[in-house]
Amino acid sequence: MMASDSSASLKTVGGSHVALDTSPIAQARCDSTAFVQLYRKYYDAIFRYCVHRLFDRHTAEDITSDVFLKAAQSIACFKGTNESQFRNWLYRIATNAVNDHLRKVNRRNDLYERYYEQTDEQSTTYDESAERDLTLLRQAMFSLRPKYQTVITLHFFENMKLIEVAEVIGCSPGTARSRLARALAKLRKRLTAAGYVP
Amino acid sequence: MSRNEKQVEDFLRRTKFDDSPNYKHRDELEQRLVATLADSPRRENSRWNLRRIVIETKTHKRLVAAVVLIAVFVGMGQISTGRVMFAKVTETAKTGLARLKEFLEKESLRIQESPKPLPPRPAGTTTMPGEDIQGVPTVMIVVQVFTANIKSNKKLAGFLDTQAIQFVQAQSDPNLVYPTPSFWAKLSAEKTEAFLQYTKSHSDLRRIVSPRLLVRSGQEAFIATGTWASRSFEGQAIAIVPTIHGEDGRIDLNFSFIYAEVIQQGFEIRNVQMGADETLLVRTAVQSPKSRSLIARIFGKREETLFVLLEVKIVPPKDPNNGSPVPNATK
Repeated sequence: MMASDSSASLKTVGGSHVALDTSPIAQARCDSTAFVQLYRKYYDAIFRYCVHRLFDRHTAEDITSDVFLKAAQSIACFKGTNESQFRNWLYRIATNAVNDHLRKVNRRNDLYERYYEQTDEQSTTYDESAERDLTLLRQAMFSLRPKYQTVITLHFFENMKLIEVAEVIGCSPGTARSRLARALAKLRKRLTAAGYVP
Repeated sequence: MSRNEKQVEDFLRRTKFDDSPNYKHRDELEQRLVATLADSPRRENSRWNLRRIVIETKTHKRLVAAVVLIAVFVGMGQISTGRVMFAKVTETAKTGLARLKEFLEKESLRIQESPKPLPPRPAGTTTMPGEDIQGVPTVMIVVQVFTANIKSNKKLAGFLDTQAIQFVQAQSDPNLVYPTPSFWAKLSAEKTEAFLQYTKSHSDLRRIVSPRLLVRSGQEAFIATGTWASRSFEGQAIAIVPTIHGEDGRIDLNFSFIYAEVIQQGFEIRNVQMGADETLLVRTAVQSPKSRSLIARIFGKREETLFVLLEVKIVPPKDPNNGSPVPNATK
């Protein structure tokens, strides 16, 4: 999952060494073409993350747009030096955007309605069992606090290791591990309450 | 892992989403991004890197700050004689630190573009030890500012006790909103050496800046030092008037100090007679006035003990004919 690190070289200017950063991240700060290349590289990942958090493609597209537009506006302030940090930064922006979105008043109910409309349209894509599982999961996930939704999604749906999850949510790996354990315990209770029978 | 937890994990892993990207949306968003990027200000790559070097490496940060401040501010000391006025020092700190910050920003570009790694000294305004100053008795001032770890003050206090260093309270600056309780002591050559040895062998007392300059007897010298952290600029401004007292080698010293960050704090020491081998050690605490104040909330609570070691030495004037020191010019 980890992207390649940046490449930087030293240039001698007047007897002193000045770092000449040629990494894609450094280029993206001053070159829109380089930023667009990074966008193409990470669009899919961020979009999928938004879908996994929101269970709704249309909303995920909106949030993905917000994420990259915000990244484009703030890339000059981004202090990271390699693509791994850039990717984590994008995930952090996406996490905040999704959480803000979920906190909106009555948003949850609205999402439910849209989800049911969407699943009706997609009924040919999934079998009944998969559809039922997705509905259960969605109900259970949305009943959790956003921070628990985040760690579950990053770890299980984005296939991130705990150390990567920790970098995205800005905590230690130990904290991420314990948060994930709590999240799973809560999710299990919610699934059971919603009628999930393994 | 319990069986239930394993089942939940399996359930999560086998869940399938329709998460295939919509490439029409991707292309539309790309067009919007290109337009956004064209409108937003871009940062030059190499400038950013140099700035990062200065800001994020403590050594470079302090080196640049110390070099630039000496270049800019040493020459400002050629003002009239007299008592160091707090109002003037405060004003100097305010304007000087702003200028220092501005200068550093400009220097980042200049260093990058110029083959010279360091800024030139302003012509005719800066003097260095050993340079001739028209045969006038001159005093060399060495200022060393140390920051002490507040948690390790017991060890430091123990050292000061063993050296029997007796501090006297300095006057607070009436023009400042938050006068700082400050204390000073004269150190003999032996105690000065012991103090410097302590700073070298203990990590709880860290030297942050050590400028030195020459000033004519009775004239006022300003030193402004600054560090430019990632999001804040802080600095100290020091004003010194050393006056050579007769021919016995003693120096009358007036000394003002202001710590200028968000809240300006400072103190003043007047008419201290310094022996030939003596130094002046000042201890002061700089901190936010109240941890719950708005300023403290915004900028974070600071609680830092500063030590300022001031060394003044008479430099004999050079003979204009052969460049050697004039005998018995000053003792």
